[in-house]
Amino acid sequence: MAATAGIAGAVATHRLDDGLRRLGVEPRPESDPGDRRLVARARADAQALITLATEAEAPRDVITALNQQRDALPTTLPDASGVTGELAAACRTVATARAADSLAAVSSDVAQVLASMAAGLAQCADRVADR
Amino acid sequence: MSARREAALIAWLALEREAVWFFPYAGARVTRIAGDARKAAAAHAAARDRLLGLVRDDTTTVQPTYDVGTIDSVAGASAAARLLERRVQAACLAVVAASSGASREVGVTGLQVAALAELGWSGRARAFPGMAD
Repeated sequence: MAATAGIAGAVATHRLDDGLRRLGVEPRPESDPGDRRLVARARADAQALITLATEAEAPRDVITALNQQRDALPTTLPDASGVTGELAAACRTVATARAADSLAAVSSDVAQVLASMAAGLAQCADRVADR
Repeated sequence: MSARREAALIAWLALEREAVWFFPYAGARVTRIAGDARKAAAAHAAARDRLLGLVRDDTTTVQPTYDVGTIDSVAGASAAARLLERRVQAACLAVVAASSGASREVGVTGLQVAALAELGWSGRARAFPGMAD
């Protein structure tokens, strides 16, 4: 998942200059604090979902996807997740949050990562609910 | 609307047109998936119509046929369907990239719809739908 790793690295360090210039956007000298908070929350939620998925003995692809999401996100800021409860519902709740965060993100790259995570979490929710 | 967003929406629209062609074709070739293919075709037709309302100038063309390989089994049809839904996901993510703020919503929503559609064709959950593996 080289592309994701590259994007995650970009989120971490905001070495997005080349990508942003290709998009016609002048790069910011530093990452947006709000975006860093969104990424931190996304990582914390992913960790919380991994815990729930492991306890629920979720399908392997779900656990793999959640781990990949967490591992792709840098630990820019410490954060805690309030995600609890039944796994499918929790995945849906977090998917909704990531979709909303995608609209709120300043960086286009962060918006894409969060939107993609939302779609992956929606898949996880359906996979768990279909068991 | 920026030229980039318009181009991204048109690219997505072209894929929805392909899907509107593909699913009835696949359903006709593999009758066991005909029901699901009908539903998928209807969903993609609705998406096409929504996009037609968003683009300023529809420069896509309806092709008489598309290169989807040999469709002669449930597995083959499902694989082709998953691939098409993944291409739609990538197109939706491009719309997100070309948009800002609330205008990203159409891409974000389309991406989720396509991700769930992929799952419906015997897909597996993936961490980052729309992004290159």
